[in-house]
Amino acid sequence: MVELKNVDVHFKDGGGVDALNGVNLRIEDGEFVFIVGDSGAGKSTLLKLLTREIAPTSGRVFVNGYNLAKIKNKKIPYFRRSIGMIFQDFRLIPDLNVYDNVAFVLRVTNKSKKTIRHRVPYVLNLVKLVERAKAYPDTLSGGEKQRVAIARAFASDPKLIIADEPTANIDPALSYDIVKLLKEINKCGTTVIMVTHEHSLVEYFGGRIVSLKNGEVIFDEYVEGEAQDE
Amino acid sequence: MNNFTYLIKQGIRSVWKNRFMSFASLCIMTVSLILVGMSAIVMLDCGIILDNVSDKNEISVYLNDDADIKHIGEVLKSNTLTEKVDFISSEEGLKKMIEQYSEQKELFENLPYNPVPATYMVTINDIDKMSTAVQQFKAIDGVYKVNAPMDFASFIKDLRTTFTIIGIVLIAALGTVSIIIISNTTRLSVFARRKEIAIMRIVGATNSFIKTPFFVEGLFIGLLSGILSWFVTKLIYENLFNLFTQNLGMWNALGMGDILQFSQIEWYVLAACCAAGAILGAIGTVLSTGKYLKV
Repeated sequence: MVELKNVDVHFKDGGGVDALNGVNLRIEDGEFVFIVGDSGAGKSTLLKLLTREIAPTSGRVFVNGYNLAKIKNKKIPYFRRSIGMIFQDFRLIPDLNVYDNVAFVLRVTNKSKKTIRHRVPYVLNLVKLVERAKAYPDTLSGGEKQRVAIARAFASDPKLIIADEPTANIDPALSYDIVKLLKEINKCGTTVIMVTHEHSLVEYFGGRIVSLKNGEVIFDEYVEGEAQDE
Repeated sequence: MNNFTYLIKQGIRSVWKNRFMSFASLCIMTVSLILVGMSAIVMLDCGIILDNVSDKNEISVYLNDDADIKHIGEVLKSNTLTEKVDFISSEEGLKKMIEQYSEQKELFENLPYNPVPATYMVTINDIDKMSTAVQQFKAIDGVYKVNAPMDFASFIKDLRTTFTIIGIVLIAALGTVSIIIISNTTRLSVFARRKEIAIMRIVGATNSFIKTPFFVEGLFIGLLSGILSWFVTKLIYENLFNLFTQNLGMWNALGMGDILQFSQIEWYVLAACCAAGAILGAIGTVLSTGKYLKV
């Protein structure tokens, strides 16, 4: 579960910027939520709060049972193991092949070799990249790279996946496949928060939409999508 | 164990990935360790030579012809710096001189009188106080001349002091340089692996997991420098040793016959070089990861 209560984030740099103002948000386990908003609306700040890259200036942030306003530094890595991150620039390690990029997360979190041997092929099969397991990131298309990133985020079976504009750097036609993949993962019980500025995707898939503007939540409702009508 | 091997591999992989800087660190650390190691061995050798000279720290006290031999002997024996006193009469002295210079025997055969004075050979108990002893012996009534191996002793003492100072300065200067270089190598490593580190952070790697490969990298370069410097020190020292011992008789006379053979100390030198290399490498890495790797 994700819960933000009266969260303010104020940056002192650049003469002082209020990035988030009194944000209240509650996302239940197993939900799929689109976060939308223009540049500077506070989307990135919200994501940084949820991954505990920054702490709130005031208010309380709870993610997967961790109170992120008070969490001790040494516990942050363990909190982060309960979430999976997907970035618009993929952030794959160039000198590791697809298999090792996915296995990397499991190695970092001290999983056994046996777990790695079972889990990596499973998630690669889920994103339909088993045949490309030995390929290096340079040889993959944008869509494939993002599927590797999704496999990596899902590899440790996190409770929550946060996707930061995952379709921004790929062919628009493939964007739908990426969201569909995230929807499939969501069906396994994983909460998914996807930040996007592609309104066409949001309109197509529908679901819960949270809209930010000037650091405030201006819209938080369930919207019917075209995909749901299909 | 799974992670341990992975982290070790990552550290060693990093050495190869930053091979230019790793090589630079390796060279600087190796040269530093060689210089420090050589200074330390020379200091040890100076100590041995000084001990040998101390064993032979005899002062020759030559007497006037009309001197009260018995009284002077008692004065010498009662001196607190005196360990042993041997008397050589002028006849015995001449005999020894003729034996010593047997090839020029004829020079001594037609002497109108015996030019060798009666002599007391005084062994003192502390070489550092040799000059004091010489002053005191010279002041005794009836003493014609006092000879002591002071120049050589003070030369060795000066040599030891010089090498001690050089050693300390080298340890301080080269140690600092090594730490800076290693720290810089680690910094470049951190920079080269920044994407990987960012991903590690976001997927929940602990600080120690992120830092360990850099630590291994520093340690590896340090240990390698230790082994290399040991090998080069061994080569240099053994060659110098052979050079000195070719003319063993002369060096023996100067108390240098017993200087260390490398084989006597090679395991200590290896352990010291590796330990020093590893410590320098580890300090450099810790400084750098602490400063540039805010995890």
